[in-house]
Amino acid sequence: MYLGRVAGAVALFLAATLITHAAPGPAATNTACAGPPALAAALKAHPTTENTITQGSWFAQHEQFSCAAETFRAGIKRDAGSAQLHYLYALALVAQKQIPAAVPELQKSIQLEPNALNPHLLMASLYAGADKQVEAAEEWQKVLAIDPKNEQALDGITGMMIDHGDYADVVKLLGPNHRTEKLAIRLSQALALMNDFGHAEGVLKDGLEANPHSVQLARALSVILVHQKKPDDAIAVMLKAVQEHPSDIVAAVDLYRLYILIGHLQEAATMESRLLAARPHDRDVLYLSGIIERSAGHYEQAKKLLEESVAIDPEFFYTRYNLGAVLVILHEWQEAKVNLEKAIALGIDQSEVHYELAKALNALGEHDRAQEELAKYQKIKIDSEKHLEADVAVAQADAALDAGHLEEAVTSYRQAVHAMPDSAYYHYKLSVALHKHSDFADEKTELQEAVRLNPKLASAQGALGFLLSREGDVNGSIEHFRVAVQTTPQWTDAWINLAAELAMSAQYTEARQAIAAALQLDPKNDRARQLNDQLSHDPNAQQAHP
Amino acid sequence: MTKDPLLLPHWTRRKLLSAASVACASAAFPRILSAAEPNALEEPATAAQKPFSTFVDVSQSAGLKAKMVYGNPADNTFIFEVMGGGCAFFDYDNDGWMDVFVVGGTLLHGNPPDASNRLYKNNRDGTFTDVTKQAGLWDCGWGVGVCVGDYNNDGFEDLFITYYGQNKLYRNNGDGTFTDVTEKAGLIHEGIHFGAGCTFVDYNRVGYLDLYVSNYVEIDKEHGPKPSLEIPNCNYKGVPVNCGPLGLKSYQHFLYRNNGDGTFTDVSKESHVAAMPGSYGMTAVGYDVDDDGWPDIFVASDMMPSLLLLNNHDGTFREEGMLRGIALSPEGLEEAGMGIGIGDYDLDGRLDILKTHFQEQAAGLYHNTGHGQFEDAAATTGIATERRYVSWGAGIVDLDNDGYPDIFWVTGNVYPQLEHLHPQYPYAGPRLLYRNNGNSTFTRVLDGKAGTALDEHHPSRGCAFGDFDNDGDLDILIMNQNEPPTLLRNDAPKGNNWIKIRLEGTKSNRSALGATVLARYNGKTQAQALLSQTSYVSVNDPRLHFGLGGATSADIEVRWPSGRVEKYPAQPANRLITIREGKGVVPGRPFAKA
Repeated sequence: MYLGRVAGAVALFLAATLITHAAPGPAATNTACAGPPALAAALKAHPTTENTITQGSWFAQHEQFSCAAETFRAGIKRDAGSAQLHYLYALALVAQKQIPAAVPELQKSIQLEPNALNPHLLMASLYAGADKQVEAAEEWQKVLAIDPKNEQALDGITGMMIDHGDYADVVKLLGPNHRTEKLAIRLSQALALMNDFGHAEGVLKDGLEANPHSVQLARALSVILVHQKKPDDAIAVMLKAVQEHPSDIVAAVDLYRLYILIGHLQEAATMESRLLAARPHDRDVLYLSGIIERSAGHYEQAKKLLEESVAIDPEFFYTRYNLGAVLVILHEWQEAKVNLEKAIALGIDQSEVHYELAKALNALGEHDRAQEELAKYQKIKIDSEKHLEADVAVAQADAALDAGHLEEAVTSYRQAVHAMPDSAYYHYKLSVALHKHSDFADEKTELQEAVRLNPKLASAQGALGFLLSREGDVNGSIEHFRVAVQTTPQWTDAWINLAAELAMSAQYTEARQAIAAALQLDPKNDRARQLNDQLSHDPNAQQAHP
Repeated sequence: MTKDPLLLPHWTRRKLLSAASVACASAAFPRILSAAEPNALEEPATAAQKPFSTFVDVSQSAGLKAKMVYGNPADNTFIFEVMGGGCAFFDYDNDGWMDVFVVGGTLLHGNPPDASNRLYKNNRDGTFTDVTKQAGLWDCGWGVGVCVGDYNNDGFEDLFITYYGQNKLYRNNGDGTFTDVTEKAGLIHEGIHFGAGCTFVDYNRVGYLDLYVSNYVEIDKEHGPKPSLEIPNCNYKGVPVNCGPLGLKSYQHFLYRNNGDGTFTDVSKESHVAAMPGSYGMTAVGYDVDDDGWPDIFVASDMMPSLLLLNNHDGTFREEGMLRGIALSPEGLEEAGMGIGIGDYDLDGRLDILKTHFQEQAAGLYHNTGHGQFEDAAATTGIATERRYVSWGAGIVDLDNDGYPDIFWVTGNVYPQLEHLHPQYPYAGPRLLYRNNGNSTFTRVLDGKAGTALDEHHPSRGCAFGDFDNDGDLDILIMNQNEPPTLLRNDAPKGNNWIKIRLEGTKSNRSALGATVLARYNGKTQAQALLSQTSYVSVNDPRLHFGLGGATSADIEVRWPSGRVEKYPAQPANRLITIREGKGVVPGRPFAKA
């Protein structure tokens, strides 16, 4: 992830250089950094900020980041008040993975020009890379305060929301906005994660209407269509994308993968030789082709392709598994065992690998271990069945709840909880129905179980905090609201509730901080403003004010 | 935390790869047409040169006219509306002619007056008479499967019928009537079961037929999930359809021990049957799978591992389907097991297993490699290429008497709503016939070459194989939902010989269910088993039929359920012989051609 951030920053850097005019031939500032003589001469003759940027950007464009950094650093010495120079210097440092040195430069740039977007974006990116989510979100919020439609900020902040499971907030944030290709994909992702595949499909189709040649949108739509069990539609979408972009091998690989997923192997087979020729060392192409060959009964060829794929990426467990399965067919038991055990060690979650391993172990005379693997297979299957059973019950319960059939909803949610007692989310859903049913005692029990199972389930923490507040348990309530805002810093209501409970217990300083956080997230929030006013006018709170 | 700007495609990709791995390893996957795989659609010259049977639909002229009511054929709601029913060839009046029993259903809202199971008496002239009411078998409910066996050893075959509701045991009174003895026999169960497969099997070899019952799913029609795009497994390819079986609870299966006095005792717990993994149980067959002389039980399971219950010889069973290679696809994936055919397609003297599956899954043909070990040979034999249809009743049966068992199965979709959006998945399906090429491969018989009746489409379920007109070949009875049953008269090519074996147990159960018969002819050995249930929850003619090709005699070996083995060399062809355990060939019931 860190390297991903750096790579992103470099891309940003290169993009930034395009902002400046790309004058040919800037001069180097020292002998080790040999740039175009004309640029060096210009800088020497006229050591202006503009010439510095031109020279440094040339180095950056040619991936001579240390030279770029040196150029910008020298420029800052001449013009310490240039926000852009501080920013570009920071970029050059980031490109060299000198993050700690880059941060103060960025801060300086922001201080000098608070409304410039790129420094905030880079800073957010660095924070995100360092897993400082609150700080990253703050930076993205600053960008959005300047440019509410900024794609990068929206993308960054919604990505974080999705990581936190705040799918509804993503929909809320992106729904009314003009959506770019990237944001349409993000929105569809959030909708899909809320199981709202219909709307996700609509968003992507709208996106494709606006950007009819977008391969990324086509890819995303094909995935949604697969989820909606419309495989033929998914193929049609990707096939069109591939026909429109015949040189786009990545799209072709996607189609190839899709064909195999759906079981259209004849069509996939027609692509095999072309893709193998175009991407002979592509892990996925080798893997998928291995599957094609196995299906055709060409086990030796399948083995060869899968072995090549494993050689490229020994840690990809699906290849290990498929290679192991082919080796089982070939009765190469020992090698099969090795690959299947490796797939398991790498974390494959398919039950079938245990079955294949059991076959290999049995053939090798390791009968007890074979039985163990079969037992694992069966356990995974049973768990999967329970999961599905619970999903069906929850879907029924959701429908009943929507229809106002509370008792039926409670019964179905209870079935789901019975099938999957370890699902914090299902305990939470049951608690919601119980709340509507005014069964507060059971609601509390379910919420307590939900947060015990998953302390990061912010919605349950918030609901439990609310319930305890109603019971007069201020300390308990504060505890749960605190966890709620820690796990979901973007949840305005949780901040407000926390602030209210803190104020109730006369912890005014922290209450003010909480309400400030709420107002930062939603400056127009009536409840937050009202509470803020109350805190401002409460003499006790004022006394406690430092 | 992920902040990759291509988050969705990455997420997508992982999902796709994951799913691809599953899909690619699916049962359907290796069955798809490929250059390497024998394709039964490509007809070898050798097979084409020899005449084959012609099948003629004689249902109407034979008097099998009653529509088998079964759920709403346009827009069903629950899975129990689509799963039945079976059918049977059996000689209820011991006159030597196969009678016909067909399991029917009803409707979700109200019982139509004509909804019932049906018993048709064979008039010995190619026609039948509906005797359901006079026989005491009129019953309207959600019937599913049927198994036949003489549980009280009185010489008359009894009926057990599974239901979504309460299963029923009908004792054959020997006078053309039956009595519902379910309660008296101790077979009333608590609450609603979705009984599916059943088989009489003398698991403890004491000479009385015990009873094994497989259950399908738990479903409550008052509160069960209904077709919906929102509920998992209540939709298929974007169409709301009846829910399940995945997502519904499976239920334990039951074993009832015959007490020898007309009653049964539930021994599911002590036999270890109750403790075995649950499965969406369908057809159950009882015979000696691992050649140890004791009857075992194989249960096709829908979207779960099929179960092989191996007999421990001490009143208990152990489940070894997965270890033996018949529980899952070769890649370890569950298949929607529906019907089971038992036969010896490659004439090696071992009983192989045919299992039919859902659409987009190929049928499984599990070659018996000895001692109860199996390898799926569907791909190499060429029957794996057809996967467009939901497949049900099936058999490994020699239809043209050339000495090589052929393969036949019937089809029909469970989602009538589907074909409107996806015409490639028609509600009614054809009958599939694969001719044995004599070299462990099969050729699909198409284009009316075996009669146009095979190409007609019906929503079929069970089918049974038997010689209703006693003309020395196997005819086919098919249960069609909301249509009359189909009776396909086999007009087998002249010149091939055959022999039929009827068994009567003495130390073994009277029906001799679970016996294995080996017929040796032309240097080959063909095995067959006498089964209480097979195909899809159906029952075949108990007279085991061996086509002999040009051979004029066969050496017969009988492995009785009691463990006794008897040999009868050089039995002449083209006749039915009746063998009584310990007594040899005896005069049997009449065998006269219609």
